[in-house]
Amino acid sequence: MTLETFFIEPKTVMMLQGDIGTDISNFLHLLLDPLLFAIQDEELRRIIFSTIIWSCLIICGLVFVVYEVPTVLTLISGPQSQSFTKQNRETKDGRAEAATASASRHQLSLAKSQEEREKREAAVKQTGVTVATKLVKDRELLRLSVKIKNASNSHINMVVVDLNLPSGIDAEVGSFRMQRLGTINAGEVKTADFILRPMGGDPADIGGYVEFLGASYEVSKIPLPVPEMEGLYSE
Amino acid sequence: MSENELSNEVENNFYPLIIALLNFSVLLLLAMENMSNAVELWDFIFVGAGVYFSVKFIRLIRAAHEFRETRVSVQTRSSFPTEGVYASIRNPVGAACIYMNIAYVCFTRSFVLVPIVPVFIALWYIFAAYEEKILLQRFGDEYREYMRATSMFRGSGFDQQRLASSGYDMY
Repeated sequence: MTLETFFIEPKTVMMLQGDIGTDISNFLHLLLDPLLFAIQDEELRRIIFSTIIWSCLIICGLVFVVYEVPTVLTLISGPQSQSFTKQNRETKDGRAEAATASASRHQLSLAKSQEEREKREAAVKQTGVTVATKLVKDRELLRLSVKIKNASNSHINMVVVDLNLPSGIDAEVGSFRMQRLGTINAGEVKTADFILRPMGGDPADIGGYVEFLGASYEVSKIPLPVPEMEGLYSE
Repeated sequence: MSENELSNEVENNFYPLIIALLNFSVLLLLAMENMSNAVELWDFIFVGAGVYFSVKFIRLIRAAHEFRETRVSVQTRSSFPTEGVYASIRNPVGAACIYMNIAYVCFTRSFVLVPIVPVFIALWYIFAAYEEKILLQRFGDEYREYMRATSMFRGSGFDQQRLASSGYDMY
């Protein structure tokens, strides 16, 4: 917006513009001149640089030391005596407690993974999506069909079928190990076909999963079931 | 994993500390000897970049140490963190130290550090790869799946991770 829009006399406009320009220039000069003048001093620039650089290096070093202090203390004082005695104590049946602890940790980890598996299975059941696989021998090749049925009430997006092939079975040239099926609407069935070349591997070991985005944007993953064999092991 | 179980783990992850001591003591000595005294425009840019990488270093170190597992050796870790900074970066301490190496190059503004720093970056990479190999052996598919959704040193947005995990970013 210019001053002409206010219907002011052109002479006044020129005078006002000139005054504003001069005022801004004067103000900036007052503000920046001391800074520019100071920065022109090479020695001062060097001091500022040095201060910034060494401050950064020292602060970073201190941060690292502060966060690593517990480890440093353990390194200097050795492992905590409590845990040392714990490792050497023996239980009634003669097993070292450390071994028992390790076994219980292993047990805990197993229980945890079992729990997670069950949770995943329950979540998969809730999605209402079912997967069936069929393996057909086609001359020297194998054709794997992965049939995905969306029995839920809402569509699923970004459906991906990804195979984990065992050694001795490869995807045929031109056939990919992964296929994207896009969206599957409620009640719809889609099939992904893979052409595989067996080279001594066991087809029963073919694994993989179907991954998709549910209606509420949660990612679900269904492992492929063991394929139903057709024309295999019959010769 | 219970709080009790976590507190029983001994903080024995000495390797990052040892590598960092070796790395930064060498770089510090070289920086003290060879730091450029020039104060031209390019020096301003390089020092600015150095400050930026230093801030990244602090941010990553702080975020990594929010998890106690960071200070527990991979051989004795009973779980691996997948939240916070670990939701996008698998090895934040290594990433932080690599950024700090770059910061040293920017601060020193000398070609002396140029052949040295890649050696240390390689060292951090080897250490990260070694840790991941052990974690893969210990946690198997669970860790493999986590690896697919994250990157070793550089983080990315949530959408990208989800796409990477689903295979939609492959083509």
